[in-house]
Amino acid sequence: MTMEKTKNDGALQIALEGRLDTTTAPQLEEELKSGMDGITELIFDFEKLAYISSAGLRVLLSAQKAMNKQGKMLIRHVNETIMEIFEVTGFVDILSIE
Amino acid sequence: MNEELKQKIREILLERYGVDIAEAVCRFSTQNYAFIFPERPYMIRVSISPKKSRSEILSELMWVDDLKPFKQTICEPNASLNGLLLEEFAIDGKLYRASMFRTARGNIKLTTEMKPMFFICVGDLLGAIHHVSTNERELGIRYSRKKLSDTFDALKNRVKEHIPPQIEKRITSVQQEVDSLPEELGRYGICHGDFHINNFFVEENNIWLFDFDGCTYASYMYDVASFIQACFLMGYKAGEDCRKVLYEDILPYFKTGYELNKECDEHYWDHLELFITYRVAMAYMSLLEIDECGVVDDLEQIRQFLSYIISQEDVLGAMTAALKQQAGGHDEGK
Repeated sequence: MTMEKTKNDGALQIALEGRLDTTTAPQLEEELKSGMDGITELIFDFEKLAYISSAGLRVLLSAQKAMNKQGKMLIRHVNETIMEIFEVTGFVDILSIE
Repeated sequence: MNEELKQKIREILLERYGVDIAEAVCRFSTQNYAFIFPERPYMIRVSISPKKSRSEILSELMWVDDLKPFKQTICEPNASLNGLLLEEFAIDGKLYRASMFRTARGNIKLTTEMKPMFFICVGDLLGAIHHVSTNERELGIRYSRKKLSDTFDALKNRVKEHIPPQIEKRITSVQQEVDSLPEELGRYGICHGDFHINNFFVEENNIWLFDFDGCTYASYMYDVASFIQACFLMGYKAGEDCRKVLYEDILPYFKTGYELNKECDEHYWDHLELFITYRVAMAYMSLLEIDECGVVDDLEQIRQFLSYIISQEDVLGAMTAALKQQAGGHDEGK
């Protein structure tokens, strides 16, 4: 998985490409742990994300939980495959998806 | 499976998974073909005209995938060459769904080989599963799987006409008691749904768990009860008092393992016997709607056996009496 970050004042955009699974989720988790200070808007761009596993979902939930305290989190450009996973796991009701 | 169909499935699976089912042993259950590759760490399950929806199967796979980081001996799904956990295809207008799973190591444990450490290990595994389930519910993850109470009710309605009135009354009373329990966090969530000794392989102290096909929202005690009921019906300490065996030889060890991973208050185990009764009722009704079963040879005999047990108020007492009688019958036969 590759990760492209764009920071603009308090807004952080992370574009993911590839698979967010058991192997790659810790990489994102680490990134979020270290880079969230002062962030009030966290945006994920999933246009090029091919797959998300439960491990990836857990990282998104942690991020959502953190952002509930300090701002907002959005997920953009969710493709059909990922959206189906969000739907069957009830994530559509938890996350803000644009 | 006819050769023409097998050939078509073979070509599709070769393309999607890069493996040739000609090298696999094919086993058929009521809903699935299982292609097991000897000496290789995976198998492929193909569901035919599945009774479950795509989202239900995907939910099962996502849940098992989520269990994996918490317990290494879960037979988790592997993605296809397309990166999908669930592959779908149609042959002659019929829909098929395929998933590849890591296979279990070891063998099914015989009831004569069950020792205290085995019960500790099984408890440890199930406690971890229920811990993850609780954690998911806390996080807000909600899979598209049915509630066991709905499945129970639907099954009862399907087989109603074959159940004698007295037994139906008894089943309804057990059902009402179970349904009246609150769906509390920490006690209720997604469960394996068919947790018994034929669904796991044992390799030393590792319990390899498979067949999550029946995962369902239920009280965690249902999984515990499924395991215990199966131990007795498969002949663990046959001829002895089931209640005594449960509370002296199984539960203390099972709880030791379970509570390593799962927080349990003092009332956690209160409804175990109720759920053993519920599980017996479920097994009895399931046998009423099938013509053959791979696990038992004489279906009618096991139906009568279960109908006797479920008709009694004290299920463990009835189980003791029925198993004693059965053991006596076998002795006479010898």
